[in-house]
Amino acid sequence: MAMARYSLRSTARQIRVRVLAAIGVFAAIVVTWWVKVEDARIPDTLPQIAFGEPVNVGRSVFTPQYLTIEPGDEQGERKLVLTGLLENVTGTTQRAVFGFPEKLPELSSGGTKFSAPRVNLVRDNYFLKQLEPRIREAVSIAWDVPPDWREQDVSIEFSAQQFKLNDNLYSKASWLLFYPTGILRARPEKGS
Amino acid sequence: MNIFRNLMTVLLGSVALGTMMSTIPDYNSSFQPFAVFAGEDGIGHGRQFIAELVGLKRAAAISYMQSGQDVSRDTSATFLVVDLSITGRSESRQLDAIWLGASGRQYSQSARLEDAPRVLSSATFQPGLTDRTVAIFEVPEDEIVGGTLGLVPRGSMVMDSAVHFAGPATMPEKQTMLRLEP
Repeated sequence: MAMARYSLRSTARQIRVRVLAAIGVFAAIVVTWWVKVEDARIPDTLPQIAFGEPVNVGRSVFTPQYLTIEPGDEQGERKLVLTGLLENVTGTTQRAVFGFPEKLPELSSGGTKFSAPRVNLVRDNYFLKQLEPRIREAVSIAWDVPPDWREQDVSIEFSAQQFKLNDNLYSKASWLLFYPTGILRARPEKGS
Repeated sequence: MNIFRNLMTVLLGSVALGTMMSTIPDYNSSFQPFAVFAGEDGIGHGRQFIAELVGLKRAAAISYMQSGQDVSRDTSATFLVVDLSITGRSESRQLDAIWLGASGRQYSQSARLEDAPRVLSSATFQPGLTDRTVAIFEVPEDEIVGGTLGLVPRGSMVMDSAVHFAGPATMPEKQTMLRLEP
């Protein structure tokens, strides 16, 4: 009798382990499949953005207007300046205009490494601290140019964070992972 | 049996969370500050402070002195300057202000004026003492009439009181340049 009870308990344990293993394998398959679906949602080739065309940057929409090379603050320094209009498309004041953590437009050209740009208001050159709803601001996005960079075509990649109206933790609106939204390819013009 | 009990706990928890997510109001909305409306005398009694709306002004630009230098700030819309008188109640508190525009959009205080004198964002209110302060917003003109001012203690918004003041019935006077003095 004791033998039969031991055998029954052992069999139940084995079944339980196998059921848990099967659930784990099934969960792994579902997660892998969902990752593939998410990947397929993001196009392989980014949409090309032209001057005057708005690009989604998450909480706001940016419309690039022109790209120029300007002299830097010190003698011999240069900076690349992308000027455009920025509009908050949410219903609240935004401090994280380019997402949180901040992901500013990324500049690439000829394999040169550029540091993060500064975003300033055009009207008084004061840095952009926040963006109010319904108030469109003209802004300049300025990158310092390394001395060895020669004038050539540049690419500027824009990203946005995924918006979720009800998140799974607090059931409040959340901004989740970043995804690329467009790329601007242009040759900078000589500025003032 | 233990596994079954644990699974049931997880399952019931998930169902409870899912229910709270899909109901209106959801649990995030339910735990926001509750509104306390100011009386006709313009005085609102919050749990941790008493606030009086002294007046509203509009300005195209604002100037002030900062570290011995004259600073001037303009806006692409209009500065809405709200004069407030605030008395602390039980403990030292800082406050946040939000302008709920006529369209329902929420405007925070202008970060371009954080270093201006007497602004609410840099003020601390002590129990039993009354201080004058200003909350400054950048808003489109049509968000002013019909808007509402909301005041809440900073950093403790869950289940606390937010004092609401009804906005002006007519457009406040506008100055080309408003000077803020310490």
